[in-house]
Amino acid sequence: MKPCNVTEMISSLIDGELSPKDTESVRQHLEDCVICRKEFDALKSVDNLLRDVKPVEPSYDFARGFWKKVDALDARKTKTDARKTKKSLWPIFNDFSWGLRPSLVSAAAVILIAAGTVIFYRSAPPALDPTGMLIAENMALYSDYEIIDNLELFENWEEIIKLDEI
Amino acid sequence: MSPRKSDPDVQLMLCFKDGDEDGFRKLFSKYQTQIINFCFRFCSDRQLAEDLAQEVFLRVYRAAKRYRPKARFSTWIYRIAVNVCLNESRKLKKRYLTQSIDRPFANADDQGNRLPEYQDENQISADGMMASRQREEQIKAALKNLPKQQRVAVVLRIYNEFSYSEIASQMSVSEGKVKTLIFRGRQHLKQTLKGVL
Repeated sequence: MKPCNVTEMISSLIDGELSPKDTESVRQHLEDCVICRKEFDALKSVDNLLRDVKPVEPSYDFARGFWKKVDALDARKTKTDARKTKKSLWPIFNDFSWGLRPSLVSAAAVILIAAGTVIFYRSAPPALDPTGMLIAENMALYSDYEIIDNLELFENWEEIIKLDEI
Repeated sequence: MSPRKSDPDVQLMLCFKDGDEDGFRKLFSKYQTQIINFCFRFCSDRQLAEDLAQEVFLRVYRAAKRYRPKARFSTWIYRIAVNVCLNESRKLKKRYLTQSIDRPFANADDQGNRLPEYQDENQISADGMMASRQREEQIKAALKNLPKQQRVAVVLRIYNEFSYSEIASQMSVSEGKVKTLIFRGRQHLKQTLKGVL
């Protein structure tokens, strides 16, 4: 036979967690119901059994071990603080949030490019004659085809043609 | 009255928050045995219990700067202890499983069979000690076999005698849940320890 539906209340009764009204009603039920009274006794025995287990005392090096861990923690904290101080040597970057830093870098790049362009054009040599530049660019080509070596032939080109016609 | 005014341990923690390490030392000295025992009843391993307890005190030490008393100090430190135990139990589950937690309990008949036929006084005393130790081991094993939330609730109630409302605060659950956890825990223990009751 199973206990009645007050079993959970029996557990609360043992813990003194029922209202005075419920306490009275469950106590009354326990007087009338053998099964629930057995359940109450069994649960009380569980509690008593658990309380029989002796508590342990801290080992002799428990506190020492703990303070060692605290020292290690403090040392780590000091190291972190030192790193933070080193970082703060860059106040401008520290003041900007990470979201603003890319815009700052882009602005610096634009200024550098603009300044570089201005300096380049101001210091550039005067422009050359376009024909002279073309010849200068093709000098290697002319040289490859031995045109330059035989340029003297072109000085009397008209006479040569006339000789061919004869 | 607010916990800040009524609880001397809260005052000690506030002194520590203001830089007086002596406040912490007094709290450490007062609570070390309680917290070790809470952890020990949770994990049934002496060395592990001390490691867990040290972790609890380290968390208290580190939390000093942001400490704001909202409850009794004991409620607060046990809340930390509950968190440490529950989290560590997850990490150490594998280790627990490799231990012989499923070793069958010796029942009353087994104990009866082991009794010698003829006894002198010394033997009775030695056997009594052995039986007592064996019973203690059975209780520890029964506790360890409880689901961890039931175990925490039962330990906080039966050993530390906290009220349901304090346990609810320590475990971050409702009072109704605490009531059910303790009830189920007791039922579970009643079944497991049938031979010892």
